[in-house]
Amino acid sequence: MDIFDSEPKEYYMAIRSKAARRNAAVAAGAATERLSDPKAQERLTRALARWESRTKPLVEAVRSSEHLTQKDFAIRINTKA
Amino acid sequence: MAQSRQQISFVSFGDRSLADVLALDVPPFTSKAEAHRQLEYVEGYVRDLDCHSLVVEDHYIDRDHMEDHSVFYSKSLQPYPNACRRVHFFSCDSAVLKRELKRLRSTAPPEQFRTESAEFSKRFYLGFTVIKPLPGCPVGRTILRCFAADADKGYLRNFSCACDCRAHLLGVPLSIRGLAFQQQDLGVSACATTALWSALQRARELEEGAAATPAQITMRASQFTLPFGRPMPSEGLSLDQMCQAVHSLGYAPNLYRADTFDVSRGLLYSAVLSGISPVLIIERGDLWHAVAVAGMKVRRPHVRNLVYPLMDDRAGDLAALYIHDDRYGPYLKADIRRKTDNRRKKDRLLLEIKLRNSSVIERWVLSHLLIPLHPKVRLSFGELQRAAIRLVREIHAHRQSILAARETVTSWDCWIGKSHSYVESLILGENRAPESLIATLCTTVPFSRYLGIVRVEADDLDPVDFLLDTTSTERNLHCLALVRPATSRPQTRDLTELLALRYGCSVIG
Repeated sequence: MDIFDSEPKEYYMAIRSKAARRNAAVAAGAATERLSDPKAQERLTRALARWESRTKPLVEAVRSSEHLTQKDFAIRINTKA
Repeated sequence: MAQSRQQISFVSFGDRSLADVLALDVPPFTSKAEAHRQLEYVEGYVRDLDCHSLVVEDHYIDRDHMEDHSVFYSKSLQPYPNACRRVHFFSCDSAVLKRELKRLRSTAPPEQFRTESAEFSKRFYLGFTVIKPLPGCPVGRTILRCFAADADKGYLRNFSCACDCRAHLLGVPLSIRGLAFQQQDLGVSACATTALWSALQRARELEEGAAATPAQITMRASQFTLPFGRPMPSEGLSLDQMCQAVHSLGYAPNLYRADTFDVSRGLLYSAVLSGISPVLIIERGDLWHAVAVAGMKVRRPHVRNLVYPLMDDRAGDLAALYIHDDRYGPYLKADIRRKTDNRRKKDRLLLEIKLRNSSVIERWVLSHLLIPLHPKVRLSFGELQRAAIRLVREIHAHRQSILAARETVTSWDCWIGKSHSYVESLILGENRAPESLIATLCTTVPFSRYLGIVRVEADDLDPVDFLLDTTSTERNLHCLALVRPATSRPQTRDLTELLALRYGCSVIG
């Protein structure tokens, strides 16, 4: 089983409630919120934290492939034709 | 002392076996099948390339064999010669071949001679194989034309690991693109040495490093440690010894354990896409073997591969590898499969090798990858993968929180390439960029010699390239620029501008 199979389906679905209202505002031509807005900063920080925790297993899987031990280096590669 | 004599023979292909044409003896204690397996593979391969004729050079000095002879064979009781034979393969018949070679030798001026020789090579030349004077292991340096890029429907072949090679025959320069192969002789080399030898041919083309013969690789590998006893005749190498050999030749050995299927596939895909030939350490039971990768087969168009919800790794398109297996021959196709390892609770990467003209399928599990990189490239493929994952999650976070846009699957590709090759790809490649973009990029962004490139794309985001400085390290990773050749999709402008702010670089395009 793939280690990334455990996430619930909600993550596939569009965001609702407050974000939906924001969507409507953007679609109506409201200006894109800028990074300087503290509330936008806060939302970004939270979103980054959420994505970081979700993708941590991915990053760790790559990192673990670099962790080699004496056992790895002792393998004898000598298959003959 | 008798003078060495040269003799050139034109032979029709297919009338007799190569072994018969070359009048190769089979040594005692060895069967013909064992001694000539690689030669028969080469014969079958060029037959599939529509070979019609061959030219045999009776006296050819091969640098690799000369070194092996000097170090090992010259000290044998049996007086092995230091010269080899070389066989060239052509897809035209002998009469046409003789006529064309004569015509080319009469061609002047020099530019026309070179152009027409190149066209002749492209049309008719299939490559060459060096035949060593070792009856039990005759196949020496062999460079054969790769398969065509078009594979079965829905697939494409990529031989980025191939090199441009030159040969000269009867005064005519011949060019061929392929990765050098040779069989192990169990004297100076076992499988690990020959796999390294093949992989380093490509590394040397990228960055002019020291050429290494199999004998030199084995000696450098055995310089400081001898875990298995004598270095020659070769008893095989350890991973430590392989790394030592790579390092002593001026390259950095990036070594990875192939723990999980997705990571292994991602590393393989990135390495081959970067034009670097990785050495694969594969296991089957208590057998360990090493092969060099010459190319890969990928799905086209792209088929989505979600390694995480909304995150699509394009390495999922990797369907098969073309490997140089010194037990058989060059460009052997190894299909990639997922193998569930219940004991470790991880999926491993399995290579299924179907032997030519046989129903036998060998199954090997990928154990380790050894990627020889130039020391200038400080950013490893593992670090590049992590950077790509971080970039994609930043895109999702910004899209969601700042732009309040709908969540969309975002895909990524990552590879390492020379900066001038990247600029050339913008001029000539699939994602062509406007001339003004290229001019701005070249006049405003300082490049490191090698770039780490992460290309991201989504339904709402045009393909955007993040150019990473490979002389920086993971902790202080420096983004040189964001290149956006197109801005037709809804979030491209906003996302790229936000990310350029985040990474402190300029947006080009």
